[in-house]
Amino acid sequence: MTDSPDLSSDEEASAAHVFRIAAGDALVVILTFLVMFMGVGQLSAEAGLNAVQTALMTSLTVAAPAQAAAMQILTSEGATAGAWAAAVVAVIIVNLRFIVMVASVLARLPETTFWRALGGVGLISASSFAVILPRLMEEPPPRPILYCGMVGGMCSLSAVIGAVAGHQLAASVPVIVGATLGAMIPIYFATLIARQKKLRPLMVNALFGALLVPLGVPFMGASALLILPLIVAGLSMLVDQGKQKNA
Amino acid sequence: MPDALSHWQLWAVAAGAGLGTLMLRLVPLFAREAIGGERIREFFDRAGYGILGGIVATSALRSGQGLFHGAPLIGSAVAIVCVVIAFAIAVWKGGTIVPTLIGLAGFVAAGLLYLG
Repeated sequence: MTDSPDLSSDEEASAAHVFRIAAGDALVVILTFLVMFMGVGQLSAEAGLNAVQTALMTSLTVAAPAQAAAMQILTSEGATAGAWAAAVVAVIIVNLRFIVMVASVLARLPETTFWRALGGVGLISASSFAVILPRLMEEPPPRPILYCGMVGGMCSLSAVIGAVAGHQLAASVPVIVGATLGAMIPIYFATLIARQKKLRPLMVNALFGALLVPLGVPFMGASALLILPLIVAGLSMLVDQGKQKNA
Repeated sequence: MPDALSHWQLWAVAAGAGLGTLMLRLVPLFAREAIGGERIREFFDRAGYGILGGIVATSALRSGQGLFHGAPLIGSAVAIVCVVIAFAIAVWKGGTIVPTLIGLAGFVAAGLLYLG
């Protein structure tokens, strides 16, 4: 993350200053999205979507697993005319986790109008959330709503560029390059989690999420990423509450 | 693509998936009052970090299995070890970029050894 110097007032920070902080924080995600979404673009070309449809879907969804699931439904053998509805439902189910992510970010943003808040959190994805939440918790940037909007917007834009490039060029990235860029996301996110090392409850929840979600995915599908962390968070709150009462 | 899918249905997939996801992000905006309390915020912070941990683990496993096609278990182990190394360095020394580069270098080196 880049450093954000103290400012006497949030309002004094220029949009360019906020942009520099947002771009520095989101750089790794932007670079990774450019390649990662090429695969999504290829899948969507195979499913019959044109470049404009691919761009529209990617810009608002910004979720490679959800989009890949939808394309898989469209291209699967025996898909019927109703496959389009199943694809939309699949995307929405996979992305239910966004509700919790947005709620978490929103709780750390100042009160504002509906439309400004929408601009701030309207394009949040799993990756931009991973960048935004540690920043808001550790060293909140000036004009945090603008910051959130910029991170979300830049991640969405890079996803669109990657998806359209993959759609148009049907580019095939060498295995080692694709896998390396894919590995950049978890490695980088792990270092972001480490920034909250002093907050033990958050570390415990991150650890349990890392252990339980991969175990739950074979049985619960993508919803494991939503349900299991919510259960662990609830349990850890109850445990802490019990300890406080005993103390 | 199934032959039965018409032009409008492809548009419905693109717009429906995009707008549906956007609507999901709107849910907390409508319930902002309900999530304004300190304890609710703490709950969402914890759930958020649980989700982060889940994203780290699942995407690490996927990356490792993608690179080590013939040996997915080894690939998973390599990716997790690289993540743990980066995390440990970040806890010990601080920073994000240097630990990420070290973890990534380990992953690439293991991949090149495997592919070579």
